Amino acid sequence: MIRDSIVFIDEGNDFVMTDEFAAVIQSTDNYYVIVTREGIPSLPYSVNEIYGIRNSGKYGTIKRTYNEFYHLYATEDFRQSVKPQKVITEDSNSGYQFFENVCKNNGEVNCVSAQGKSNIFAKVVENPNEKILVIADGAAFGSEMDKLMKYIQDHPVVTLYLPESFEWLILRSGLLEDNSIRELLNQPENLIASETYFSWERYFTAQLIEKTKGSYLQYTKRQLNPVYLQNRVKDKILEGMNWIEL
Amino acid sequence: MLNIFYGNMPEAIFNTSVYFKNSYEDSWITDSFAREMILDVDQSVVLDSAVIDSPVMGKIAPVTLSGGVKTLILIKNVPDKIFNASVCGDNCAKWILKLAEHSDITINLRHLMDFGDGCFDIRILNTDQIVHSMKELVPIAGLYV
Repeated sequence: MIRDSIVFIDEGNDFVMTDEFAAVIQSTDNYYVIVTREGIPSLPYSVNEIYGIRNSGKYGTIKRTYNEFYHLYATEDFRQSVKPQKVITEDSNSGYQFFENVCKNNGEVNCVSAQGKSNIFAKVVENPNEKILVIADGAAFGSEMDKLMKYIQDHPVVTLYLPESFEWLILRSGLLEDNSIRELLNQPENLIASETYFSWERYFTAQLIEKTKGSYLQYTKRQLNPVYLQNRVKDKILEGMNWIEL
Repeated sequence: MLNIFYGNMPEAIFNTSVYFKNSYEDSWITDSFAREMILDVDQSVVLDSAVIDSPVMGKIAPVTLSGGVKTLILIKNVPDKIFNASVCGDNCAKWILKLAEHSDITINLRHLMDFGDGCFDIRILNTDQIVHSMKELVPIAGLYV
């Protein structure tokens, strides 16, 4: 078994699409560079970790293709707010419960769960003229990006908001008075053991559960603690999304 | 007409490089259409059936051509097989459309190849619909990749 290595897998190897491959690499401590034009839904890779290879002179250079906010300009360049008619969340657990409550209070915005990232595209194309905001975990959304990007080119009414995860939003909000969170958010790559956490989303979930255990902010993935729906707490989480009108 | 089946297709030839290596013929490389494709896609000049001049790798054999151009050559010369064209970059899309101008061809795609801003006729075999632009194609094909 290969350990503590960077493994390059060239295109033309269809085993990377299998659940078996995902299961085998899940508990390894290697980094994997996979060359393919296909999305790999069985692997939770970040939108930030998709690179295009651009030819430049004799040798290619690698340029990152996606940013966290697709179709949104960089924050300092943002010129207009986003006011969706519908919000589609990836999950059906705490993240959906949170945004469903936010939208219900708004009154004008409908919030639905896609019940998984692989269902988001189908949900988006159902209503081509509706202003849609997709909220999904950027840390594991890589496999869905290409087709959504191509769809949005002709349907700019669709916007993607891709924070690392809902748990990352809570950690970032400042609700938890824990000094270690800053390093955790700024340089997670220095802290995440890849053989323990298959994705950063799982790492942030584990951290949030551990850091809130026994407190009034105790967090569980399946059922949202009602304290997160109190206005003070809710507003702190939403502070980092103030260009989105919900 | 270009016919495309999107998604996993067991009967398609997945590894086109291996198929090419085992089956190509000299005439496939020296024909004028192939020369144009190789020049455009790989920026390489065919010198003869066994030697191609590449700006990156120097004098190479046909098996060292890019996966995309090898797939294009297979599509042209082996019309009774369906090839996985997801080894082809978007720079191959116009050539696939050109090949389909002269005859019906069928390919398998496992990603959304960009066929450009122009109009075209593509039959999506998954739903038996004909589309004429990427705006029409993406919402249908995206459900299968």
